[in-house]
Parts: sequence; C-alpha cells; structure tokens
Amino acid sequence: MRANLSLLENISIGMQYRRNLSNEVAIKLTSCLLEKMMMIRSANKRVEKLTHSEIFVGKFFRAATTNVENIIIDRPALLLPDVRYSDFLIFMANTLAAEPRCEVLKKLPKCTVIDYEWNKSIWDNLEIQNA
Amino acid sequence: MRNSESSFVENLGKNTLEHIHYVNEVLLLAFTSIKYAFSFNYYKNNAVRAVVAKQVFFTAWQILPQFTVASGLLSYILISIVIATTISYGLSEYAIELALRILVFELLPIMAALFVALRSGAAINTEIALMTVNNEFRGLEQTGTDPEKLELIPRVIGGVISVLSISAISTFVALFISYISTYGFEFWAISEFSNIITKVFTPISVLTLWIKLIIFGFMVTIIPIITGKLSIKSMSYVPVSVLQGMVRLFFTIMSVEVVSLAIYYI
Repeated sequence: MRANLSLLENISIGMQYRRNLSNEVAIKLTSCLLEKMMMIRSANKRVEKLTHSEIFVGKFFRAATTNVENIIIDRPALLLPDVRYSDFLIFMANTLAAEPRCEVLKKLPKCTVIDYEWNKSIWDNLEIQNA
Repeated sequence: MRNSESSFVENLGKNTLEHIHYVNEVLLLAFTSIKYAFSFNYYKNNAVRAVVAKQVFFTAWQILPQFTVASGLLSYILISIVIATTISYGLSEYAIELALRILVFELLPIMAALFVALRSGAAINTEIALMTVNNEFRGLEQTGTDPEKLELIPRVIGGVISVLSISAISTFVALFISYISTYGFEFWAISEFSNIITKVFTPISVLTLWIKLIIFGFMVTIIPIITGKLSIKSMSYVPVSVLQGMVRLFFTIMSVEVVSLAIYYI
C-alpha cells in the first residue's frame, strides 16, 4: 500500500489508470466496496492510521478489481495478526457475495488460502455461503 | 598484499559497473519521460493527469508563498549590494544588468532547483524506496498497470513544470524589485528598463536558461526516483537511499551549473 495515498486512493488509482475512469467514477466504485465492508469511515485515512484488517481489505480490493481469476492469500495470520483471520475471511467472502453486489466486483475471484498444516483445524467446519 | 590489491580492484570494478548502471537508468528514464511528455495521448488518462497535478501542487503550489518571499528577499539584498558596489566604482549604469544576470540566470534557477529538491526530491526518493522494499512495482505490473507510466513519468513531468513555473515567478519578482530599487514607484523609466531587459534577455541566453531549468527539473525528480528504485530491499536501507539520492542530486545540480557557466562565459 502506498504511504502517501488514502485507503480509497490506494484501491482506486490502479483501476482509474487501467480503465481511464474519471476521479468521481473511480471513487464512487471504490466507495461501494468499502461501504460493503463497513470501512467507509477509514476511506480517507492514510496507511499509518489503518488497522491490519483495513490494510488487508485495501490490498485485496486492489487485486480483485483487476479481474484476476484467482487471488492467493498466503499465510493470513501474517496479514491479519489482530483478528480471528478465518472468521474475518469468511465474513468478507459472504459480505462481498451477498446481493446487491458492487458494480466493480460483480464476478468474485476465486480465493485460495495457504496456511500451515497445524492450522488445519481452524478451517474445518467453516460454512461458506454463496460460494 | 595480493588479496588486498585484488579486492581493491574488485571493489573498483564493482563500483564502476554500479555507477554505469545508475547513469544508464537515469538517462533511460529521462528519454522515456521526454517521449511521453510530448505525447498528447499520454495525458488522456485521468490517473496520469491526477498524478502530474498532485506533483505540481505539492512541489510548486504549496511552497509558492514561502519561495516567493525568500527569492524576493534574496533579490532585494543582492540588488542593493550590486547597486551600492557599482556606484562606488562609478559603474552605476551597469547595476541593473549585472544584478539581473546574476539573479535570473544563476542564483534563482539554483535556488528553485534546491527548493524543489528539498521539498519533493527527498519525499519522492523515500516513497520510491518504500515501494521497492514493499514490491509495489511488481504488484502493479501483475495487476496490468505499468508502474513507470503511472507513477514515475508523471512525477518527472510534474517536477519539470514545477521548477520552470517557480523560476518564472521568482524572475518576475526579481524584475519588479530591481525596477523599484533603482527607480522607485515611478513609471517614467519603463522604456529605459525595457531596453536593459532586452539587452540582458537575448534569445540565446533565454534558451540557455530554459535548457538549464529543464535539466534541473529532470534531475530533481529522476535522480531520487532511480536511487529509490535501485535501493536494497530492506526497510533499514531506506534512509541510506535517501541520503545517497540527495548527495547525488546536489553534486549533479552543481555540475550542471558549472558546465553552464563554462559554456556561457568561456
């Protein structure tokens, strides 16, 4: 994440460049994503004021808005050290999949989580809706 | 003895190759920036325009009041010294010409370049070094975004625009102060002043000044950018990278100034 850009700008700038969107349209599309994740209040905060979850969400949306097929989340404990990361990731997946979906993320990418063998039990018996 | 000699030669070779690589990267970015700066299609992208505008805002617009006051003060002091000195030698008719040549062609351009270097050069160096450490460039490439076109070239263009614009403003301030210092708030000497300006600002000298300012504009952004890009991927190395960048920038600015003096006066 870029240190001198806000959370909103970090997510929208790549999308704005690739699709040649105006500032207003890029901000509107990105705001929808943050509203869905209930992080809109942090939209104008810079990286040093964001929580680990907010930084993770920013990086995730920055990748997801490029229409990639698969996003790999490598060792989520390193990225989300201050939350129960399995619950957070499932919450995020269910929230983004729930209707109405944001225009910029109509088709959700496949997400692969890579975690240590000894954390297998964390991922057992988790229910993913709208997969 | 042989070991120390061979390691000296090895280090010399390694350092030479690093310097050649560095200069190569600087020139490459300079030529790429020139190519895109004159491409109308490049500016059609909203994100590119936003980065250029931000760079100009933070580099030139935000420091404009302080820089104008500082350059005005410097201009006033220098012009007063020159007028007093030329009067004491009986050469008062050359006072304005001498003051303007020193200020507009030498001092104010260097002052503008150093202001921009301190204001934005260090920040750009830090930002690019952090992006290198955090693998942001690779991340942008993997998401289909050309990091050079989005992040680097707009900053170079913004830097050149900033140096040119604040130099132009400080030049007008210097002209105003030189007129007021010599003739006061009277308008009877405008034609005489215009003749002096015509004598000082010849086409060749204005062209030389513009070329020098454009080179300064390139250097105050490209050198920090390349120093940051070639930084070792370690957070603890970032301050070292910034220090290296600023030292290289300072020596480059001084070298350009010395070369321009040599070309113009020798």
